[in-house]
Amino acid sequence: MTATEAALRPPAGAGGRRLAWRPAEVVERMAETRRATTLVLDVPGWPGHLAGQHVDVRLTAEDGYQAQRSYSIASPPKAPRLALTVERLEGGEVSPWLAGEARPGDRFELRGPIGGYFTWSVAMSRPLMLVAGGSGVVPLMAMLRHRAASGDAGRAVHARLLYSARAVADIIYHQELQRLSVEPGGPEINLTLTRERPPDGWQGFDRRIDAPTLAAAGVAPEMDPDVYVCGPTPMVEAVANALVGLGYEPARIRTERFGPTGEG
Amino acid sequence: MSAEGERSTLDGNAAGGLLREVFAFDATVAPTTCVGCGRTRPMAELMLYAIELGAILRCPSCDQPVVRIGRTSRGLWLDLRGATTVVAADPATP
Amino acid sequence: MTTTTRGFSGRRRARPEGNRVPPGQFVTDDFPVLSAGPTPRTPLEKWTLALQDGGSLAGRWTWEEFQSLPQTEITVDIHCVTKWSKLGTKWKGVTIDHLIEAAGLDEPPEPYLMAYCDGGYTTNLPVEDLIGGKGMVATHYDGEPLEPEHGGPARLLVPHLYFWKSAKWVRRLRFMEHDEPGFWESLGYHIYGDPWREQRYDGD
Repeated sequence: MTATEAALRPPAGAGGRRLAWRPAEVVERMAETRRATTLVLDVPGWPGHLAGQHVDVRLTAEDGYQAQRSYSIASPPKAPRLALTVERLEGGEVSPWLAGEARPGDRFELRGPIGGYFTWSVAMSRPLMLVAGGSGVVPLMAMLRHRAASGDAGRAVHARLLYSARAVADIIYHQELQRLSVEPGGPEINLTLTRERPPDGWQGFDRRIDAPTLAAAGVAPEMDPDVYVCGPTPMVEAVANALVGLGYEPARIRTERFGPTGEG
Repeated sequence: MSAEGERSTLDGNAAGGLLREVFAFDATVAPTTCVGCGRTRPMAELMLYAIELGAILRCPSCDQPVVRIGRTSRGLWLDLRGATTVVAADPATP
Repeated sequence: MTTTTRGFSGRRRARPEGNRVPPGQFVTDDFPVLSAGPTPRTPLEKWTLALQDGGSLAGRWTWEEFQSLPQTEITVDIHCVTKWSKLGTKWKGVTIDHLIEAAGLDEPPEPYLMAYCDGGYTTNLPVEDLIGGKGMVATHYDGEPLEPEHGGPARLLVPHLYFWKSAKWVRRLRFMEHDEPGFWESLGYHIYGDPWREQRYDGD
């Protein structure tokens, strides 16, 4: 059994293979941008997770009404606390509470970790190419944090992130990304703005991620990277198609789409 | 991100929690073959609809519903007529 | 054990006084979209509606022909099985009574009906829930052509049953001798779906 498989197995005594709903308590909240908030959680019995996985969050009103949504895990596998970064969706039902209302001491339920598909571990060792749109950066940040926490093994993995945001103020983890990028062996970070005209001295791109952007900022297809693309559906599809057109191996392109559903 | 009010079609990743209620393995990584066009891909790559009622996972190539799940007060109803096979393998070590 | 979350009430919390809304439902001002697949976009020049009696065609209308059939306007409350209700929605279309008449039928040939839609969706209904002004094929909502994501160009409208019965993108109505389950009815949802008896799931 590999470490990956071990992490995917529920702990002994979890009551079979079904994922249990667990109480989670907010320990800390941090504003990331005007719309995104990170919640640091205490989750007793959390079995551990892989970078890229998500949780289902369930909120229960006093009259028993429940609403459930999925959120990516922002913290790396061995972090002492689980962290979620949630972007508030206008007209949404769960994200406004998580990103706006939640305070230390508040409690809700979650289950996870979920999903073995969109996951990465330093043990995979091939070059790592990450492409994010908006809050799609969250599971990719868990991967970069995992890489940074893995010492020499992490530094040995060539890594690049290409991240598109609407405006500078919408860039989640901006300072941390800058800090990581200047560390010895740190990942190469490329940013692009899609709505706002870039400020003076802007080093990044100023367009939606397209084939030329990927060719300029990605890990070359000849290096056979593992590619992870996460963002809103139209962005993910445009990027995935462009990657195939550029000669990336389709089987190594992993995608995760998210955004508002009909009921927010 | 999408404009406010605009809808997104999610993929099978977002059905991972529900799939773990149905299958004893992580079905998001399970190679699944579409009856409609014969293509095989992990359930995570199928397109997700109607998560409010269960999950309809459709083939991104031909729109065939491959996995259908109805969530009811008495359990989950699973219809796999749209899949010729689902391989319950351990996640491939890349 | 369930954890109640401080300060969370959810979005659909309004429950008006009296008996206007079926049990378990909450009122929304939005018009949530719920689809089992991608939104089809059939051009009007290719659109037809067929009425089928078993295996034979009883009637078929192009978009233009359909517009020339008698048009009926109604204002009704609608109820989704996901627990939202929307009050006072205004629709325009052709009633099933008028369709049957336009097909030259004196009366419905069979007691049940299956609706078939672009994209492969189906739903089953007793014919008596469609006639007598109870059901229509609607092409307009709130005075405007029905938007594709809400079922345009035409959807079935059967407002006294849960809204999954009001099939979006309807193209064919087939009379049948025996009741058969449609798309959601085959996945554990109720074969009839009366919101006032809270028939959400099989066995309710």
